[in-house]
Amino acid sequence: MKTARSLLMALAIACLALSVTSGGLTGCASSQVAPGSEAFVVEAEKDLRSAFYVVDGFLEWELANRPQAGKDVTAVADDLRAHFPGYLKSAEEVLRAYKANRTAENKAALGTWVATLNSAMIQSLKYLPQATANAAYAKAGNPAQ
Amino acid sequence: MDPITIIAAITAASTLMEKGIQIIEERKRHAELTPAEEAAWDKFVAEQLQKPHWKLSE
Repeated sequence: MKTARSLLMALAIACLALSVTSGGLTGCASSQVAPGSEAFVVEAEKDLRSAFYVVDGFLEWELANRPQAGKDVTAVADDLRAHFPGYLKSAEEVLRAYKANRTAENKAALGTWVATLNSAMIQSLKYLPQATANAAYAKAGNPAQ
Repeated sequence: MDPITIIAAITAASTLMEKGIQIIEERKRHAELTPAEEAAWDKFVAEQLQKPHWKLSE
């Protein structure tokens, strides 16, 4: 049963990581965009929403596995709980400002906020496998790491 | 392993896979969000932020 649980979690994490990394980050993507749309904006919107999905998933996972996940993982999760909503709100405000007024200054500001959210997303992805490993370690009857 | 733990594990894994599918769908888009889509997204985020997993652990 432990093996099945580990496989299930590994599959879920792989699916999540693949879905994020397969899309690339802002500035790296070369996807075509619909007429009237700007590739930079489309990619920024995708990145903001992807970052939220990943962090949201990580926090939900952390809560469900808190006893086994480890205090360091909970500390990272709490840091995201405290700060990520504000980052997202700021990023979306800058995004809307850029969509309304497409200046180089607004574009640079948007790029900075997208990078901030991507960093939070990567932090979540980084801790997911470790949290899974700690949970498996604890389940095997070992003390918390 | 007790049934509740098994259900919790499956639910957690399902949640992550669900997020992965949402991201895949998101990344298929080729157009900027419309104001209506932005409003729907804001509503979704606001609802998510009210859920227990967004509350601080302490």
